This record gives sequence, C-alpha cells and structure tokens, in this order.
Amino acid sequence: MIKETHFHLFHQLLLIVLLGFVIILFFSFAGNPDMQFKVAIGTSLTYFVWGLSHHALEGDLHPKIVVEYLLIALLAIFVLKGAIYK
Amino acid sequence: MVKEVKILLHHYFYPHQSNNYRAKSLHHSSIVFYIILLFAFQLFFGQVEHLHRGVLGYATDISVENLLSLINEKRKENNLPPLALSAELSEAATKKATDMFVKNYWAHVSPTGTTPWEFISSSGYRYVYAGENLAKDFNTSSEVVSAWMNSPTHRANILKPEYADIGLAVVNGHLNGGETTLVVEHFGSKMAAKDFIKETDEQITYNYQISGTSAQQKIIPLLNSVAWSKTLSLTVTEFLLIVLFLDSLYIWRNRPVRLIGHSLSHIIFLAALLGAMGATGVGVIL
Repeated sequence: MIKETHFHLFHQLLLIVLLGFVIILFFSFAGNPDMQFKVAIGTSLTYFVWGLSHHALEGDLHPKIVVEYLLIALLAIFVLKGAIYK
Repeated sequence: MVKEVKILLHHYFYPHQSNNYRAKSLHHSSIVFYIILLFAFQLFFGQVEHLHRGVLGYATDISVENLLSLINEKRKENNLPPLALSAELSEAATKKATDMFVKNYWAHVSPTGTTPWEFISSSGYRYVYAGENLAKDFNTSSEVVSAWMNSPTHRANILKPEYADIGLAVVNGHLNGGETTLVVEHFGSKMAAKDFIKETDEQITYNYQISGTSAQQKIIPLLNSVAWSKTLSLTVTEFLLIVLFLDSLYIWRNRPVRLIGHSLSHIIFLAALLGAMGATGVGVIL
C-alpha cells in the first residue's frame, strides 16, 4: 500500500514538475504564438506518453485508457490553439 | 420533475449507475464532442475572417495620448525629462505603419530595404540619435508600454537620455491575413540648427493608400473572434475541471474499481493549461 502511494506520489510530482516547466516556457514565449503552439503540441505529446507510461507501470494499461489520454491530449491542442492565435 | 432533473444532473455531471459510474460529460464521446466544437468554432471564425474581412473586428483601446503619457511616466520614474511629441516623427511613424500594411511585412527593415531612418529623414526630421519600437496585436496602451518595458532593448529605447522627441502612430489594418493594430514609436533628438548643412535630399514620395484607419477611431466589431475563441477554450477547460473535481470527490469517498485514466492527473494537466493560457493572446513587440 505504502509502495503504491509512493509510486503515485512520484509520478504526480514528476507531472507537476513537467507542467510547471511548460508554464515557464509559455510565459517566456509570450508574444510568439508560433513557438507557444509548438510548446502546446509538445505538452500534449508529453502528457499522452506520461499517461501511458504511468498506467503501463501500474499494470492496468487498457486500449480504453490509451484512447482517453489520446483524446485529452488532442483536446489540449485545440484548447490552447484557440487561446494562442488571434 | 425535481427527481428527473436530479437524475439528469447526476447522469451528466456525477458518477452514477446510469453513466457506468463516470459522469457522461467525461465519456469519450463527450470529449470528442468538445474537440469537434472547438475545431468547428476555430474553422468558422478562420473562414469568416478570410472571406468577410469587414465582419470580424479587432477592438482596441490604444491611443497616442495614453502611450505618450505612459512613456513619459516611465521616464519620470527614472529621473529623465519627458519626450515631446514631434509632428515630423509622428508622420514618419504613420508612414512606417502604412508601409507595413501595404507591403504586408512585420520588421524594422522593409522587404525592399527601407530602414526606419529613411522614414524619419523623409519626414524632415534631422536627427543625431534615432530609434524605433514596434508593437502589434495589443488591446490597450498600458499593455503595449508594459511589454516594451519588459524587453531590455525596447526599455533602453524608452529610457535613452539622448532622446528628446517622440513620434507615435496607432493604425488598424490587415496584416498577414488578419485584422490588427500596429503601433509604431519613433524616437529622436534633433541636430542643432547650426549643424545643418544645406543639402538637397532626394524626395521620397509615398503613394501608399492607407489600408487601415487610425485606432483612435475605435473599431466596434460585429464579432470579436479573439475574445470568443479564448473564452470558449477557458470555458471548456474550467467546465472539465469542475466535473473532474466532482469525479475525484466520488472516488475519494467510494473508492470504486474503474478501468479509466486518473482524474487527478487530468486535473493537474488542465490546471496547467489554464496557467499557460495566462501567457497567451498578448501582442507582439519588435
């Protein structure tokens, strides 16, 4: 149980660090929409890979979960595209 | 009736037997719907802007008076004398903005090689020192000045002690297929009268048609695609965050066994997107 909690905590912390870095990148590229969009695509890909890796290590990777992370990653691209481009 | 509404709300927003213990608004089909909605919205406004340029507007609140006042405030804060608004430099700035719209470029030097100094000289301003700051896509004067002050090179121009005059132009028009507001700022300090050498400069004539209008004549847009697009993105993200939070609450209370992605991870991811959106949609400086 403790091992499982540590596993989740480590993975969530890793995700928070990665996404914190993404926010820093977005602010450093403020005023440069094309670079921000590239970061957005990179972020979505990273989250997709993170999700699959996490569930694979957890031992419950199922096609349904793959589709869910794929859809959330795609949604993120469209959400950020709408906010980035004028 | 109340019971039906409650069941419906549970079905769409809270894990329940009717939705296989996950809110219907988090099902794959619902996420596909949000993606299609965002895609259709962005495609629609893209097409409208491309085909009917007059329909979409770009509402800005940038004025020469406000820019001048804010720039001089910054100079005062740094113990520098205020800059005087020069008619010649303002003419040069307007010509530069018009040139960018006519030749469709966004740069200090035009595609035909015209430098800012040529615009300044052609307006009759004999300079010892001169400089140029550019900005586009901003909504307010304070946003423009803040962006310039946050950039070391633009800040150096604004706070250069050698400058005595300033010329400003705020012009709306179409650049690279989109409606925008260009702000051109020319700085200068004049050559002393005794230093003038009578010379016959080649007259540069400008036959460009002004494609834009002065931003001080505020454009009232029929549809503001910028605001709508970002608002829709924010709404979808915030809505999903709320439903995911309710989902997490249910998991925490009931600890069900489900073969789905982690709601907490999605919450962290979407919260980061909200944070990133804070840095989007701002203007560009050069």
